[in-house]
Amino acid sequence: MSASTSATTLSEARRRIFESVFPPNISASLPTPLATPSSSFVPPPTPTRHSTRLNPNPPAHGVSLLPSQAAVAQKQTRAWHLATSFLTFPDAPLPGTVREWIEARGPPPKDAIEAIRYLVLNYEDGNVEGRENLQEWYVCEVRRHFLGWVKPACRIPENIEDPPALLERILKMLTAAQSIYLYQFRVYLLPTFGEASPRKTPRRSTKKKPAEKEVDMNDPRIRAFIRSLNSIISFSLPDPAWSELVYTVLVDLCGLAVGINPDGEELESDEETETGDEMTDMDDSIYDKLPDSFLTETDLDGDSILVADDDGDILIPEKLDGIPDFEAYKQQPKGPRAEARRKVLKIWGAMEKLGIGGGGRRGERVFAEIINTLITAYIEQSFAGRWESPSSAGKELEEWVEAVLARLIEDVLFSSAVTDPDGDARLEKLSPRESLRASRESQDKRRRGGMDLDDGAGAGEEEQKRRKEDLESWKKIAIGRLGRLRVKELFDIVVEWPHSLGGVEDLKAYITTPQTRQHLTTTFSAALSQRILHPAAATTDVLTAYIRLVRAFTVLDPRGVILDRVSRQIRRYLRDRDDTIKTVTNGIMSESVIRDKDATPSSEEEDLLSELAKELGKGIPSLMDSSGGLEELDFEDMQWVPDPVDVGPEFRRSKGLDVVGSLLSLFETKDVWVKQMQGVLTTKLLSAPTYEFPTEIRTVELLRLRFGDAWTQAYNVMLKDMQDSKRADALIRESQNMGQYYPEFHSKILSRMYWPQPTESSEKFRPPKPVAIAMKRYEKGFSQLKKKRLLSWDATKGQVDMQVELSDRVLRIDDATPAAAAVIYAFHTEDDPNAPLHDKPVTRTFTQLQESLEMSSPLLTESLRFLVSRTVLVESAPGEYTVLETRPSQSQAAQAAQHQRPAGENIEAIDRQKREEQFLVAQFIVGMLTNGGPMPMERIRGMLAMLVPGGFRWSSEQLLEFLGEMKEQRRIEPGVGGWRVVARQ
Amino acid sequence: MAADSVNKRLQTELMQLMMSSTPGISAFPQEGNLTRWTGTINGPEGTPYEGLTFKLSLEFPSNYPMSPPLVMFTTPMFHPNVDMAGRICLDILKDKWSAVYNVQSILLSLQSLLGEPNNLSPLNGQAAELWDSDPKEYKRLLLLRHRSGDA
Repeated sequence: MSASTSATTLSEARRRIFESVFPPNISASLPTPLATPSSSFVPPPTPTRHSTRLNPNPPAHGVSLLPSQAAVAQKQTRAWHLATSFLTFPDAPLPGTVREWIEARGPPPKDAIEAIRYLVLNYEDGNVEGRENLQEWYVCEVRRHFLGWVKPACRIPENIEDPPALLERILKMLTAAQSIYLYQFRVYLLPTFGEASPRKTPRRSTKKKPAEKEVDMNDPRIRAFIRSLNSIISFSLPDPAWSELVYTVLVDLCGLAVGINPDGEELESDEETETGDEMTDMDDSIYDKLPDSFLTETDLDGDSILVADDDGDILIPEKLDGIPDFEAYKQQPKGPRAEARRKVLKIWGAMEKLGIGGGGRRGERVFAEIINTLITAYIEQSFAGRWESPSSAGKELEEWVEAVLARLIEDVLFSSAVTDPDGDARLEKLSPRESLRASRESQDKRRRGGMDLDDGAGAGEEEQKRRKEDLESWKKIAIGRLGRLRVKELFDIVVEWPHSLGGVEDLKAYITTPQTRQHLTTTFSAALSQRILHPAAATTDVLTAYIRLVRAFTVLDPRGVILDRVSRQIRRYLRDRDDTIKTVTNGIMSESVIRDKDATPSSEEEDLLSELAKELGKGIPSLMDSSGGLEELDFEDMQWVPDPVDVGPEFRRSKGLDVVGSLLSLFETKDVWVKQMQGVLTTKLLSAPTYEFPTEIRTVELLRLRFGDAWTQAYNVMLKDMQDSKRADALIRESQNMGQYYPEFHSKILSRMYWPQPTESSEKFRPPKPVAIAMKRYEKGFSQLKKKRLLSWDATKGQVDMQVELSDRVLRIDDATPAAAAVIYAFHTEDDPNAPLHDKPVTRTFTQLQESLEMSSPLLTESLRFLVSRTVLVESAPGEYTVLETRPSQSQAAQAAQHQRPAGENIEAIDRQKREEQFLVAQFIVGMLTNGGPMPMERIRGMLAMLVPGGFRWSSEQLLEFLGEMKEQRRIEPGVGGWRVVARQ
Repeated sequence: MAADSVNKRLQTELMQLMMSSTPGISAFPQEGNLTRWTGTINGPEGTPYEGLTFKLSLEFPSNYPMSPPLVMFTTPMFHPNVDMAGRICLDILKDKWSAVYNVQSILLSLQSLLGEPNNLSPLNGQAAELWDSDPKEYKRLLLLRHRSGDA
C-alpha cells in the first residue's frame, strides 16, 4: 500500500476541492452498472477523454475542465459501455496461452483504455461504487465466461483412457484461463489505479517492475480476485471424478518418486532433495508468480510482453516473464524417480495456483489418500516376505519415511509455503507440519485476509519441533502398516519358522496395544481356519504348524497370552483329529527311528518326528516355575508385571512355553498318551532283535519327568523285562545247549501284566517245525530257571532273519515277521530237498496255507503281502501264490513292492483299531440303554462323551450310522423316547 | 483329590464291566454323575426269578472303595433278604465289604442271592416263610409285586 499512499492522499484532496464546486450526488442516479447490458447503450460518437484531474499530462484530447453533472453522467455511461464491451470475453473458448490471447485480441482500442481509466480513476477515491462496480462486473464476467466456456471443456469422461494426459490438458486449460483472466484484471483494471498518478510515474516502463511487484503482492484486490476465481474453478471441477483423476495420476507418479516400482526393478536411489526449488524459488509470495511459471508460458523466456497504447504508454504484463528456474529442471539428475518427482511437483504446483491444491483445499485430501496408499504399497513391495533376522525392516522403513516420503510430502504440501528469494537449491527451511495444521493455519490466515501462507518460513524452533513431530507420526503410521502387513503374513511366517524370525521381530513393535493384539489374534485365527484347519490338511501339517506357532509366538510374546488365544482353535481342532495322538506319540518316541534312518530324514513327517523328539529332549522348561501356579506369589520376582488386559479366562502362564508339554496338554487325561506310547514302545522293544535300548531308556526317563512315576511304571517294567530277558535268554540257551541247533533262537520274556494285552488268541499259528522244536527246548529251559512259571508264546511278535534261496538268487530278509517266515516255510518242500524246487516253482493256495498253518486269514493275508512285496512270492492267480524263482525285471518288482506294502500295513492297523473302538462303543451303548432306559441319540452321544475313556470323538453322523448298524444286528431298536435294547426272548 | 480317585476307579470298573460283558448283569452310570449307577440283573434260571429283570441303584460314597456302595432294588422286590423299600441285607454290602469287590462282583453276588436267600436273617418274614413252604404262593406274590412295578 505504501506506494500508492501519497497518490491517494493527493487525489483525495483534489476530490474535495472538486466536489465543493460540483456536488457529486449525481452519480447516485446512475444506472446500476451491473445491470447494464452493453448493448443498451448507444455508443458515443467520440471516445471520451477523462483526464479530469490529471492536469498536464493527458494527450491532446481537450475536455472541458468543468463538465456539468449531466455531462459527467453521460460520460460515465459511455465510459462504462466502452469499458465493459472491451472487457467482455468473447463467447468462445480461450486460447492456450496468454500470449496467444494477447495476440488474438490485438492492441486494445484507445478509447476503451481511456474509458476504463476514466471509470477506475475517476471514481477511485470519491465514488467507491464506480470503481468497485467495474471490478465486480469484471468478476461476474469472468465467472460467466468461465462457466460458459472453460468449465464444459474440463468435463471428465467416465472412462478415462489416458489419465495423465487428461489431467495435464485440464490443468493447462485452467491455468491458461486463469492467467488470461488475471492478465486482463491486472493490466486494465488494476495498474491504472496503482500507477496512473502521472506525477509519480510519467511514463511506465519495465524499470518499474520491482515496485509493481510490490503493489501486486500486497494488493488485496488481486488476492480477492484470485480467491473468487479459484473458488469458481474449484467449484466447477466435478467432485469424485476430479479427485479420482488426480489420485490416479499422482499415485503412480508419487509411487515412482518414492521408489515404488510396479515392475519390481530396483531403481537407483536418487534421493536428491533439490526438488523444492523447481516451483518455489521465485518470488516472495506464491500468488505473485501466478501468471508466470506455467509451463505454457515458459517460451516467453523472461521477456516482457509489452502492450502499448497509442499514447506510447506501455502496459506491462509484469509477471509474464518466464520461469527463472527453468534451467534448474535441466540440471536435475535424470532418472525415472527424479522425473516422476518433477512431474508430481509440476502438477501440484499448477493445482496449487488454481486453488485446488493444498492448504485445506481439495487437493490436499487427495494427496493424503495418495500418501496413505503409498505407505502401504511401499511396505508391501519392500517388506512382504522378507523375514530375515535380525530384522532391519523397521529401521529401513523409518529411514525411508524420513529421507524419501517426508521429503516428498514437504515438497508438495509446503511448496506453496516456501520462500526462497535467492533461488537457492537447498530448502532447509521448509516448514513441515501436519497437513491438518497447515490447512488450519492457511484458513486462519485467509480469514485474516492474508494469502501469504507462510512468511515466517524460517527454521524457527517451533518449526523444527513440528517437523520432528510430523516425522514421528509418519513413522508411527508406517510402522503400524508394517505391523498390519506382518499380521497378514503371520501364517506364512509361522509356517516358515524359524527362517522368518525377522517378521516376528517386526511384529513385536506392533503389538503394543490391546487393539493391535486383538487385530493380530483375529486375523491369525481366520488365516488358521482357512489355511490349515480343514479336513484336507494332513495331521502332520497341522501339527507342524502348531509346533511352529508355539515357537514363533513364544518369541513374539514371551508371556504366552497371544499364543494362548490363537492356539485354542488349533488345539480344539487337533483334539478332534483321530490320529493326533498317534502322530504326536510317534514323533515323541521317534528318537531311535531317526537314529536308524539318519541318512534319509527327508519326508516332512520325519522332520516333524525328529522335531518332537528333539523337543522332548529339551526337557521341561516350564516345570520349574509352574508348580501349581505358585509363581504368582513369588514376591522376589522383580521383573513381575501384571498380565496384559487381553488374557483369556483360563490363561495359565506356563502353558505353551514348551512344545511337547502343550501338545500333551491337548487332552484332559494322560491315559491316552500313556496308552499310545506304551503301544509304540512295545513295537520298538519287540521288533528290534536286540536287548539293548539306550534311546528308549532315555525317552522313558524324559517321559517320566512329564507324566510322573505312577504313569510310567509300566514303561519301566517293560524296559526291565528287556534286561531280564537278556540274562534269562543267555542262561536258558546255555543250559539247553541251544547254540548248536538251528535256527538260532532268542526270546524276550515279558511280564504280561505290564504290557499291552496281546491281541486276540486267534492270532496264533503253527510255527515251522525247527522253530517249534526250539520253542519246546526253550520252554524247558525256562521252567528250570523259573520254577512254576510257564512261558506263553506270542507268535505274532518277533522278528525273523531268514535267507530264501531261489533258483536265480538268494534273498536275505532280516525283518520278516514270524508269521511271514512260517508262510514261506510252508512253501519249502522239506521231504524232497533236491528235487522239483528248481524245475517248477511251488504253488500253494490261500486255503491250503490257512489249513496247514492254522493261521487267521488277516494274518495270512498280511504275511503273503509282505512276501510278495519282497519278491519272494507272486500271486499267480487269485488266491494262489507261487514262489518267484526267477526274478522279473527289477523295476516291475520294485513297483509292485511299493504299491503293495504301505497300504496293507496301514489298513490292517486302522481296521483293528477301529474294530476295537466299535466294540467298546457298542458295549457302552448297550449298557447305557439297558440300565438307563430308552435314550435319544444326542443323549447317548453325551453319555459316551462323558464316559468313554480317552474321549469320544465321533460325529453325530458317525454315531447315527453306527446305531443303524447295531439295529441291523438286532441289538438295539428305535422306540418311544429314543433307542432301546432289544428285549431278549 | 478324593473325588478324582473315586472317579478313576469307577471309570476303570465301568471299562472292565463293558469289556467283559457278563451275561445277566449290567450296570451303567446315570446321566451326568459317575457316582450314581443303575444296575440290571436278570433273574437266574431255575429260581422263581427266572425271566424277570430287576433294576438297582448303586450309590458310591466318596471314599469308595474303602466303603461299600449303597445298593437298593428300585424294582419292587419280593425276597427274604430285601425289604419292601428295596433295601438289601447282604454281608458283603455291610460288614464284610472289602476293597477288592467291585460293581461286577456285587451284581454277581446279588444275582446268586436271588437263588439262594439267607432265610436265617430275613428282612421279609413272609417271603422267608413261603420260600420253603409254598413255592407256588411265593411265585404268585413275587409276580404280583414285580408287576406292580411295571404299572
